[in-house]
Amino acid sequence: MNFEHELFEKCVVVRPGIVRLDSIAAPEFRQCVTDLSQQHKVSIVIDMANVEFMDSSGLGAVIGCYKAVQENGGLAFCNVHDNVKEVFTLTHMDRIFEIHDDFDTCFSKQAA
Amino acid sequence: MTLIPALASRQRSSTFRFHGVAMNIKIAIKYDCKEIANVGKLVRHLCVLSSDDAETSLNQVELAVVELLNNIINYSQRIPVDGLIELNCRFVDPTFTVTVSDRGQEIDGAVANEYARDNVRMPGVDMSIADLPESGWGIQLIKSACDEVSYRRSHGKNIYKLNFDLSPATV
Repeated sequence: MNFEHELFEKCVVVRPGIVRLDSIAAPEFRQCVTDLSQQHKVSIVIDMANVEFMDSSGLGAVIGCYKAVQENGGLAFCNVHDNVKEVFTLTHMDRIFEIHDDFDTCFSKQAA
Repeated sequence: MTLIPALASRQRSSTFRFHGVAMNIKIAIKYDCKEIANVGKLVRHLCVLSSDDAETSLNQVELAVVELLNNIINYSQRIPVDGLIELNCRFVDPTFTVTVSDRGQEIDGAVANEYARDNVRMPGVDMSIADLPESGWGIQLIKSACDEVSYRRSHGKNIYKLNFDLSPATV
């Protein structure tokens, strides 16, 4: 699976090249994000533009990442598809995660 | 994944309509996680064919079916199961029903009770980050997404029924 990433001074931007964050993709997603966080010790921005569907396995991976990156600066999302937003809303995780409509807003906040 | 269409002239309760022909759609899949995504997308497509202006989110229909199949397949990994998981999708205006059956071990009483419980119990958002659960969201998502969920054990099969109200959105 393709988890393209780009390193900046204060954050790493991860762009999952997957359409579905489900039980197949979740383990690799989690591993990739936590590894980047531990390696670079900066915030993580996840650009979700490609991800059109997420199930509870994907949600579990996101929660696992969220916990893992806390000590290194946190985690924020942008370009979240309505289907994925719906899962965050149903589970009330939209009140916990930092979710931005667009990349520029998200990036400027994390890179500040 | 296998599609088993049956003409509704023999099954009067089935009222799917493809170009005017009423059909009942049966799907059979292996106990394999790789099958789940295609079934989810197919069920979503059947909803569009049933009612393309429903208020219910098609994502929630796909999500509920995917979550249920995840649970069934995960459960089957404890004790391997022969055979296939069968799904029967039908639309009787305005209700879209997906009945799923499998020959796996009977599910735990606590899990069965969770399906039977009326209310949805999402973990509280007031808990600390460290306490946020990373699993166990599936049943709650199924219950959030469906208008009605039921589970029963019959003739050696687990039988789940998911109902979705596909009434048109009111403007």
